[in-house]
Amino acid sequence: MNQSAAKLLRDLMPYLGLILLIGYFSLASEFFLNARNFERLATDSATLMLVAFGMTLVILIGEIDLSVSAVVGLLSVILAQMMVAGMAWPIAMMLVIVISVAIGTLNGAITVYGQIPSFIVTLGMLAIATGLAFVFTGAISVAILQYDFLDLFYSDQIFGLPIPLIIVALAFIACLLTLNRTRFGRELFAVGANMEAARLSGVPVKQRKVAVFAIMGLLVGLGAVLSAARLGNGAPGSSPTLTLDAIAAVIIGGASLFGGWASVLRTLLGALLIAVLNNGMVLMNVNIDAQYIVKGVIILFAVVLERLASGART
Amino acid sequence: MMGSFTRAQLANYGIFVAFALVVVGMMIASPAFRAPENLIAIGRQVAVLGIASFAMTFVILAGEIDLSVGAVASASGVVTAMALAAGYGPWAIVVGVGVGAGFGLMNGLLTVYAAVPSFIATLVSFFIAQGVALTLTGGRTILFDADWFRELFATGSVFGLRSAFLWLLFVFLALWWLLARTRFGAHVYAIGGSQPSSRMLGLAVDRIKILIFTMAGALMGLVGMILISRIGNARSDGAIGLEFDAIAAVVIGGTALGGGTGSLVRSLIGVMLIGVLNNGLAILNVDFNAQQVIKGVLVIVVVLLDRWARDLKGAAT
Amino acid sequence: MTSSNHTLPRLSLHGITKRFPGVTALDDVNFDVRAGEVHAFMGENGAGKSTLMKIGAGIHRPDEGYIEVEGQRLALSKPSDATDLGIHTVFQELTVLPNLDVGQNIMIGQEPMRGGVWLDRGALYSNAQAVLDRLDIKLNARTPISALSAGQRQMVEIARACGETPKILVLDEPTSSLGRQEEELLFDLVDRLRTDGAGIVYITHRMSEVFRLADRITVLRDGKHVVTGDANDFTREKLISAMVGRAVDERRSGLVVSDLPVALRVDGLSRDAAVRDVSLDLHAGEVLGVAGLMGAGRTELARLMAGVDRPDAGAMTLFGENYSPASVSDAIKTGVAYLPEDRKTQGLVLSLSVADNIALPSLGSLSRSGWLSMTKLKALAQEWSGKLGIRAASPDVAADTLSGGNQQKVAIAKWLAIAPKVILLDEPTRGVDVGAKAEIYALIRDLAAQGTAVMVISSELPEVLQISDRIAVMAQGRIAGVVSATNATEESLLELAFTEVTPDHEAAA
Repeated sequence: MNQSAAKLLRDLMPYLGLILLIGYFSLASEFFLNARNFERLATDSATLMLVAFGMTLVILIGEIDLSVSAVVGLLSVILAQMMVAGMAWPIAMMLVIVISVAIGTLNGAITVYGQIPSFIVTLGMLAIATGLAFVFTGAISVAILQYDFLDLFYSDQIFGLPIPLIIVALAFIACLLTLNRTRFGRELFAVGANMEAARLSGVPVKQRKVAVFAIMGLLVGLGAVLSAARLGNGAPGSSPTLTLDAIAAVIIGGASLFGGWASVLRTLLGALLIAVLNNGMVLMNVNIDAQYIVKGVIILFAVVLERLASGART
Repeated sequence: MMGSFTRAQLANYGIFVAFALVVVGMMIASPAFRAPENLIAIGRQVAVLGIASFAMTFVILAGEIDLSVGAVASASGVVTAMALAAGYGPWAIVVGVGVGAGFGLMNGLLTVYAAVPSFIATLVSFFIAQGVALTLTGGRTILFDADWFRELFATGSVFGLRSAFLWLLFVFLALWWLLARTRFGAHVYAIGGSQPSSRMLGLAVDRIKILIFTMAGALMGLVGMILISRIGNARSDGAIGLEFDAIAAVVIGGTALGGGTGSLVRSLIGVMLIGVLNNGLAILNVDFNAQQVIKGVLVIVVVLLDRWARDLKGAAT
Repeated sequence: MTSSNHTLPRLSLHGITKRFPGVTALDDVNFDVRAGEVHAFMGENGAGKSTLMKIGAGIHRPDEGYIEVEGQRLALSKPSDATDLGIHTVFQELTVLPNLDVGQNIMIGQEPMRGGVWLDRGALYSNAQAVLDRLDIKLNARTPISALSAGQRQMVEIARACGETPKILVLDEPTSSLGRQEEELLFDLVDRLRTDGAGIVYITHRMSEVFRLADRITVLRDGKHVVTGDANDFTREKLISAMVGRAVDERRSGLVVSDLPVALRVDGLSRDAAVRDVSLDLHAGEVLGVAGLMGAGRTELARLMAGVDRPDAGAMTLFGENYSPASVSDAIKTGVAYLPEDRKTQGLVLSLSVADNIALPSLGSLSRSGWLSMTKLKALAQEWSGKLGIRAASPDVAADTLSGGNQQKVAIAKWLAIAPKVILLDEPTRGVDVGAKAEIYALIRDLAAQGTAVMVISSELPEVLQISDRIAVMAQGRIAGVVSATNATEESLLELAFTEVTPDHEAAA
C-alpha cells in the first residue's frame, strides 16, 4: 500500500468503521436500532468518552497513561466508602476529583521532572492504585446507597437528555476549544511535534506537560464518578477494559504515536466506534472476552495504518 | 567531588547493599524466614519472575520495552493446558513455546519494520494475548492430567532441587552465556548504547531486535508452562501483572531504562530482592495487595534515584 | 617527506558532482590519495569537504562522476562497501559506544570467537591491546569509555579504524577535541601509518597541522576544486587566498557604531569550555557579524544571550537594565529573539502550519487570559507572510511542504512578529538559494535601519563581510578580535579565526 492510500484510509477509517459497525449490528440484532438502546449506549460509554478525551491530550504531547483503569477503580472505591461513612455525596464527589487531579499531576511531575518514560511511571501508578483499591475494600464491591447521587447521574435528565451525556458534551466542547482556540492548546501541538523547537520558541514545555496530566486526572475523576453512579457501587476492577478502550479510541482517531498530531473530534468517533462495538457485542451475546482480541486487532490495524500513512519504513 | 563519588557508588552498588539489608533485616525480624526450607521455597517461587526478568533484561538493554510478557505467559499456559487436556502429549510443549514466540515475533516486527514504539506494539500484543486467554478459558479453570508434564516443569526434583528452580538456573546460565559471552550479546549492548552508531558500524540492528523480542516471547511460553505445572491447572489471569514485576526486578537491579547498561547478574539480584520481599512480607502477614502498592512505590523511587545518581555522573564527565 | 611518486592512486574520485535540494554541494571535483602519503583537504566551512568525504565512505552517492580504488572503478552504496575495501573514516561526530569499554569498541563487529560460539574475551582484549600498543596509544583495553576524555575517545575511534591496517584512512578534523599532548600522539600515529603505506586524507582547519603533516594539499571552495599541489609549494598566505578568492560586491557604509546606544552588553560570560569570558557590546541599529570556525562557541554564546542556556559566570544588561533571562519566554518578554541554526530540528515545528509557526512565540500577545484570537493570529500570519514574501499555497499548509528558503523565511518571520529590540540570527541563510539569500540580506539591513540590534552568526565569510557593520571573530570560546567590516578582509578574518589559544581542554575535562 502506498503512503497516500494509507493516509486516505487512515482518515476515513473512523467513519467507515462506524458506518460498517452500525450497519452490521442493525441488521444482525433487532435490539440495536432503537432509542432506548442508543440512550444506554451513550450513558454506558460516558466514562470511556471522558477518559479518551484526556488520553488524546496525553498522546498528543507524546506520552501515555496506562493507569486509568486502575485509578478509576480506586476512585470509585474511595467514593463509595466515603458515602458509606456518611459523607454528603457532593463533598465526596469533589474530594474524589481532587484526588484524581493530584494523581494525574503526580504522574506528570514524575514523568517530566524525573525524566522517566510515562509508560513506566503510569505502570507503577497502576500497581499502586490496584493494590490500594483492594486494600481498601478487601476485594468486595462497596455499594452506594445515596439515591440522590445515583438518580442524578443515572436517571435524571435535563432537556430530555441524560446528565452523563451532557457532561460528555461539555467536556468534548471544552477539549475541542482548548486545543484549537487557546494558547495552551496550540502550544501542545508544538510540544508534541518538536519539543526542542517549542522550547526555543518560548513554550514552557515542562509545565505544559504536567498540566496535561492534571487535565487527564480531572477527566478520569469525572469518569470515575459517572462509572460509580452507573454501577451503583465502588469496586477495584470496575472498568477492566477502560485503558484499552481509551487508547484504542485515540489511535483509531488517527493520532500520531509519537505525538504532535491528534484530534478530539476524531477521538470522539473512535470512542463511538468502540462504544458501538461494546454495545453490539453484548446485544449479540458475543463472548465478552473476545472483545480483547477484536479491539487488539483493530488497534493493530490502526497502528500499522498510521505508520504507513506517516511514511515509516516497512 | 565526595558527593559525586557516593552518588556514583549508589548507582553501581546500591542494589547489593539493599539486598543485603533486606535479607539481614528479614532474618532478624522473622525466625520463619530464616528457616532453610523457606529459603529453598523462595528459589522456587522466583522461577517465573526470574525467567521473565531475564528475558526483559535483553529487551531493556536493547533500548526497548515489552509490556506483553504477563499476558503472553498466561495465554501460552492456557493453550498448553488445553493441548495437554486434548491429549497432544509432548506436542503441547511445542505449541506453548510457539504461541509465545509468535507474539514475540509480532512485537519485533511491529517495532522494527512498522517503526511503532515498542510500548505501543507490545501493548497491542498484551491485549490480544489477554483476549486469547480469556476467550479460550471463558473464565473457567482449565484442568489437565499430565504428571510427567508437571514434573518436567515444576514439581519434579533432581538432587533435591525442584525442576522449576532448575529451569530458572538453566535459563539464567544460557542467557548469561548469550549476553556476556557471545557476539550477539556484545551487539545487544552496542545497540542499547547508540542505535545510530551501531548502524554506522554495520551491526545487524533490525535482526538482533527481532530476535530479542522473539526470544522473550518463547521464554514466556516456558514461563506459562512452569506456572500451570506448579498449580496443576491454567487460568486466564495466571501471570497477570508479571510485566510490571519483571520490569521492577530489572530496574531495581540497576539495568537502565533506555538501554546499554546493566547485566543479567544484576537482574538476578533484583529478582531475589523482590522474591525475598514478597516472601518476607507474606510471612509478616502483610496483605498481598499492600505488597503491590509497596512494589509500585519502590519501582518509581528506584528509577528516580537511579536517574538522580546518573545525572550527576553525566555532569561530572 | 614528499613520496608522491607515480604509483597508481589508492583512491581516486573523478568528476564528482553532488546536488542537494536547492544547492550544488560538489561540482565536478577530482581528488586522489596515494599509498604512503598524507593528503590534506582544506576549505572554509561549507566548501563541500564533508560531502566529498561521505561519498568516499559510501554514505552519499554522487550524482555524477565515479570512484576508483586501486585503478578499479567501483560503486560504494553503503558504509560497509567502503570498509570492505579498506577505506576507514573517522567522523567528527564520534561513533564510539559510550556504554562499552575500549577493547569492545575497537573489536566491535569482529569479536574473536572460540569454537564459533564462545566469545574469546581474553583474545578480544589482547587483540585490542595489541592494536593500541602498535599505535602507541596509551590506553588500557579494559577501561570503560565513560572514564575517557573526548580526546581519548577520538583515539579509540582511530584505533578502531586502524584495527585492520587501513589502506585508506580519512580523518575529519581529528584534533578538534584533542589536547596538545594527544595531538602530538596523533601526529606520530599519522606518520607511522604513512610509513606503513596507508593513504591518509586529512581534513582540518588548522594551518599548523597541514604544514606539519601534509605531503600534498587540495583546496575546495564553494563545492569546486581550486588547487592541488605539493605542500612544499604552499605558504600560509597562498593557502588562505586559495580558500577565499572571492570578491565581495557590496559593503555596508562605514557606520560609526560608537554613536549608537548599546542595546545588549555582555560582560565576562562563560559556560563550560564552549564560551570563555566573552565581553561584547551589541548596539541598537548595527549589524554585528560573528565569524569563527565550527565549534568556536558562536552558537553557544547566542544561546546564553537568548536565555536558552544559563551562563556559569558573567552578566548581561539590556539597555542598561540587568538582563538575566531564565528561559526563552523571559527573553521574548524583554524583546530578545533568537533564530537557531538548525531550521528543521530547532527553528520550526515542521508538521504545524505556516501560520501556527509564525504565531508560536507571539501566542502570549495574541491571547487574552489564555483565549486565542484566531482573527489576530491569521492577520499576524498574513502580515508577515506578505512582508517576507513567503511563497506558500496558504498560511494553513504545513511548513514542511515549503522550500528551504521559504521555510527559513517562516523561521525568521516568527521572530520579527514579536517586534524584537535585539535579534540574534544563527546561520540565517544556511541551505537557502541565492534569491532567498538576497532577500534575507535586505531584511537584515532594514531591521538595523529601523533601530533593531542585529547579531548574525555566519560561517560564510563573504556573507559576514557583506552584511555586517562590525565583525567579532571567535576562536576556541573566546573573542579573538572585533573589527570594522570596512577594514576587514576574508584573509584577516581567517587569520583571527585561526588564532590558536593554548589548549586547556585537559584542565576543563
